[in-house]
Amino acid sequence: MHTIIRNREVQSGALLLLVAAFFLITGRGYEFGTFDMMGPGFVPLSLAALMAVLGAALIVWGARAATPEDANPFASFAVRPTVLVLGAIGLFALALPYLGYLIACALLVLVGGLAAPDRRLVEVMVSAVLIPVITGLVFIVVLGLPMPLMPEVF
Amino acid sequence: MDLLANLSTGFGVAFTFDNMLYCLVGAVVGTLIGILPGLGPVATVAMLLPITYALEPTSALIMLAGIYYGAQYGGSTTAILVNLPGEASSVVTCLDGYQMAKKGRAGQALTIAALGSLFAGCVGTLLLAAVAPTLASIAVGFGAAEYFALMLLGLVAAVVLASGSPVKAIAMVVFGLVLGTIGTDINSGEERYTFGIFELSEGIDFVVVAMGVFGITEILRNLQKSDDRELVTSRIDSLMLSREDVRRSVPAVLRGTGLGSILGILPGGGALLSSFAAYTIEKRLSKHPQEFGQGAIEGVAAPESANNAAAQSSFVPMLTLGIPANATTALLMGAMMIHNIQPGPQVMNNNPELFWGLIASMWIGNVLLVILNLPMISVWVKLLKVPYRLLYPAILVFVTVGVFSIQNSTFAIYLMIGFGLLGYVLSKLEFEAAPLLLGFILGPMLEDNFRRALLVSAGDFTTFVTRPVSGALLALTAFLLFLLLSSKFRQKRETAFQEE
Repeated sequence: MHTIIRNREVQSGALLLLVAAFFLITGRGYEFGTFDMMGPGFVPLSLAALMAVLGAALIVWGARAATPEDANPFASFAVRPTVLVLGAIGLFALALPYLGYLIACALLVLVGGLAAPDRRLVEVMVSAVLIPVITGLVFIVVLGLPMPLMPEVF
Repeated sequence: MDLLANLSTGFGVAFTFDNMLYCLVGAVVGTLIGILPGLGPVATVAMLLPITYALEPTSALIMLAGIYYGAQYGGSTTAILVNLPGEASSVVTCLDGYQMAKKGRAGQALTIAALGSLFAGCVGTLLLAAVAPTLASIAVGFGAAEYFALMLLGLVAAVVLASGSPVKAIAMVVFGLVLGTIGTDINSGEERYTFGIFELSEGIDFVVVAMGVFGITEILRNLQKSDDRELVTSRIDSLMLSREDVRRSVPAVLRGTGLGSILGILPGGGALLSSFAAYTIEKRLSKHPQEFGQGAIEGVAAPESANNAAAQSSFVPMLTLGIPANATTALLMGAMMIHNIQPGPQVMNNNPELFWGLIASMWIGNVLLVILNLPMISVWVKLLKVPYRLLYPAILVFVTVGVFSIQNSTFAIYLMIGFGLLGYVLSKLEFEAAPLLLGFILGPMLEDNFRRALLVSAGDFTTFVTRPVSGALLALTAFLLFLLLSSKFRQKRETAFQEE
């Protein structure tokens, strides 16, 4: 059993089943309709069903081919960079309306910059000053994007 | 000659100061991202799309197209000097290009890559100019059934030509199609999968998906491996080719150009596949196949010509049928839609200055690229020494601000985080992201034409088969699916992608 779960194709199929189930369940109320008068549910529900079939096929094939030597595809999942990079982007989105572009962008560079395996703190800090100032000039002053530059209180 | 008259209109547009400038900017940016590993044309074009809101549509397309084919030039430089593909389609160039550089022939490898690309680019563009009007005039008479069949063919071709497992590629296309149904259903007005979120009622913007599964995922993948770039040499002595080099390269360039031009037109084909195919063919035909992998100049000339020819000819389906051949042309299509130009056969008649201006600019761009890439090579070599850890924070900022600026909403940023994570998980499971994006972009059009065709025929499915053009296209689609299932073809397909 453990062997089967670690197989990449089995995991791929499971992911497809999960996504298909999500679209099938949340879309169950959409009218299916008939061929000449298709309802809004016709296309998405048929596609989700097809996806479920493909997912199931991958699971069966993967389970048959699985050997104990299969390496877990997620063994090389870079947890730290993923959390830092995605977290930094989220932080930017949260901070932008209240703290303004300069601070939000500095946070993005500071937190995101720590994700590199060969990071150097000094470089990250210099970047966190330079990048916000330069891009702030370009995006807001030159291109006129509607973002607040400074925190709300100013 | 219509063609000449059209081209002179085109050059009239392309030779204006503004458009020359945008062409140059596109070529420079394209070379830059081509040289830097870990930043591809898809992510870059997606990043710059919002900035082009403010430009004239013609200028915007000229610039974005320049980035796309410019990347094919830049990618070879990194492949030759560092043995890393600066751009996905130059993977094959690493094999012999790097070996040439190790033998002190980096200059010759760079020269043949650039000149081969120039020749291929010119031929590919000429082909585009010659074929496009005919194709467009046929496509004007297409109805919903034909469009549906055409898009289905495109999606199936994308699966056949994608590397890796075909079942997984089909699954990704379907996933993309499902994601494309999110938003308001045009026929009934009912909202699907929006969960009452206002920002989803118009559907997810394809830039958000592209930036997530290409831009963010690329960054995450680069951060998990160490960044060791070692230049084989930072001094390039001579760029001159010997007579022997020329004799061996010319047929390779010609074959690569022909192959690339044809494969580029196929949906899902494009640059990567053509360079693989060109390399394989050269090796087969060569009198001294043992030299391949040891620094054979044909091994650089053929794939580099092929990938640039394909980059140009992949504009054919987009400009004439409104169907993207790959992820980058899909983004360019998006750029046209931003400016209220519906891509398709009407573009040529409704916006001739845009159509022919873009084509003419490709010639200018290719010439600019040779100048940028050969005499100025030392400038780019310096750039290669900038480590990735200094680069990616700036990329992050551009990606994030770019997504924000589509609708000036932070919601798009949160969505992109989700797609970034999804893209990374998918890459771990060896799913390809390109079919997903293609399905996502074609999805709404595919559904609309499917439903309209069946509405017209009162639910009769034979409409797809009895209409001659649609029937022929579907037969071709079925043939491709059959090929995909036949085991002999599968083996060939696998070796084509694993030529080493």
